[in-house]
Amino acid sequence: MTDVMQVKQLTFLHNENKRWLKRPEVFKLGPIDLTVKRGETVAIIGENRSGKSLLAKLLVGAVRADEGEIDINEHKYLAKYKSKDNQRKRTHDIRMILQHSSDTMNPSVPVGRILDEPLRLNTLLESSERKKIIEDTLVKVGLLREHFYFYRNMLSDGQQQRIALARAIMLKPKVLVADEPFAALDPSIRSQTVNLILELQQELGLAFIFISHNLGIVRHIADKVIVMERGQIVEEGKTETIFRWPQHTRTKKLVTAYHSLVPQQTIR
Amino acid sequence: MPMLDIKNLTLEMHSSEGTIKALDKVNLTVSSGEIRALVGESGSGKSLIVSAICGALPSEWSLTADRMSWNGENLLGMSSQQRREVMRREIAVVFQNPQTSLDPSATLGEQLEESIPSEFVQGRWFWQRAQQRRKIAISTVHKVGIKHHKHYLSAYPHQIPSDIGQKFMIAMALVSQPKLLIADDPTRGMEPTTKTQILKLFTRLNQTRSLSILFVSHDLLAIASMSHTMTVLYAGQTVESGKMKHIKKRPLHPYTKALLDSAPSFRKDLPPKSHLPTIAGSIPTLQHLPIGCRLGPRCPRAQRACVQTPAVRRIHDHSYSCHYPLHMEKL
Repeated sequence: MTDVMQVKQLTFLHNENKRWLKRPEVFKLGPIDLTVKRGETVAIIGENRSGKSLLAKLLVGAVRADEGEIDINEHKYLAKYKSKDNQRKRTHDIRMILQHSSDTMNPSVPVGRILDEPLRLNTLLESSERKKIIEDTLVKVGLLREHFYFYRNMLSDGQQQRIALARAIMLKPKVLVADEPFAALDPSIRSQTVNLILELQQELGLAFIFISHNLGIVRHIADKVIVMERGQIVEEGKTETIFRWPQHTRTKKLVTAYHSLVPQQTIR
Repeated sequence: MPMLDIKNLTLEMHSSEGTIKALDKVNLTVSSGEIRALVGESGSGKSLIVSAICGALPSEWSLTADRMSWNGENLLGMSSQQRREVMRREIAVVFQNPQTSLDPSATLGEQLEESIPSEFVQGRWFWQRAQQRRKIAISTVHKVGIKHHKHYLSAYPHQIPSDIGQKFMIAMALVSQPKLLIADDPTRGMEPTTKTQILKLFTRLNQTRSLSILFVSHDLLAIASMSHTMTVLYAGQTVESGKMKHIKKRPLHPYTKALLDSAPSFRKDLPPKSHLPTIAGSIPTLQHLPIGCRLGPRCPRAQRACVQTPAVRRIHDHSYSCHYPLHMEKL
């Protein structure tokens, strides 16, 4: 297994200047070091306002970092990127699924156009080639070719989630970052999505980084867990290790909270 | 003796394409001192039931029930004055979205103090009464786990984060010391530590004050850890209801089984990264409801008889409605 992604000293500083009678607000994220292997699943857990979503956004480059660098397959990006070329390569390699997938789609254009956009902006393909890629991806995530012409409101929650996933894997990324992909979903749709992601990971060898509050799912699909508190990584390790022998107090709190909910006897 | 007793509740909406049965013969009882969970996916009509109990449905929808009573009094036949009285003092509701159900033009403290019934406030003079209201408000807010009362009680609803809002809604519901608490998805999107805190609070209130709770959610983990009985809802039909223990051990309806299987935490033997068992398809929209058993098109055990709505059958106090339940191995 090779490292597909390396994050070194990623830092972000939110600094609201001191004004008259107003205390300065300082939020510092990092410095964060992180390595992700090929086909590995990493879960980020932690309290609200601990900087999980911010970290996800920094990784995909939606928010500009203050310092640090991200290497993907030996290709080095400064997280504080400026050059246009770098940015294009980066959108190829890291893709993101946002939390409320239905809100992230334009309701006034059909699915085909939504999915066409990343291809049009990032590749130099002809429109017929683009259409073929879109149709193949739709089939890959378990939808039909006809969904190309559908609008957002014609699709159910699960299908919308599939479209979001299709949009993310369209450019054949190496890393997929997801911000609470399962939170808004119903139980039966959620297991369908989990299955789909597991399948795609096996097929494409994606590295998958996701944020979740649902520790049951974290335990099920993650290889590695990262615990965050106040913008810092306080603990990281293998999933089983974290769940069996948590070290840091924050981790202990989360894990005991989870264990107190899980029934002790097994159900048959 | 059930406190809240609902039998064959049917809600019909009239649209241009004819009437839609959003709720179809729903049965639900909450006994005193029990925690009843109401489980279902979104679009299954959980929140409609909650609004039907509060009487907050639009008047152009027709609501019929064989029985809908609160402590022996018929809720449907009450005057709106009496209904409000019941809702004010005996039943409290925690609504789903705190940001939209709080008054945006008043601070949280004002709203909370307003909802304290005047019987709880003693004192001869108005300043003494105001002081006591303040005291009650602060202690309630502490009880649900909001620490900085000074900051949050003087904040407006748009200034607070949503998890504080959720806790605050619970505080507002508890301040009138109700007999029944209806909590509509109170733990949605909460982090595990806060969630257990809230669930512990509910359990404690249930034990010490014998508060009955109708816990509406689809978070099976939370439900399984605290509730005594459970009712499963699918697309406006009650699918199965009974003791939590029995349902968990031996679900009789295929849908209940699929729901329980979908939570990986319930299964210790499940190897990591394995496929989760699922039920194909998704919940139907109200405009395209299948006839008969509404699970029909998705059900792995469906047969020809499933186009008729199955009657409710019961084994002791475990009732289900399915033609081919899981304990009958005749396929």
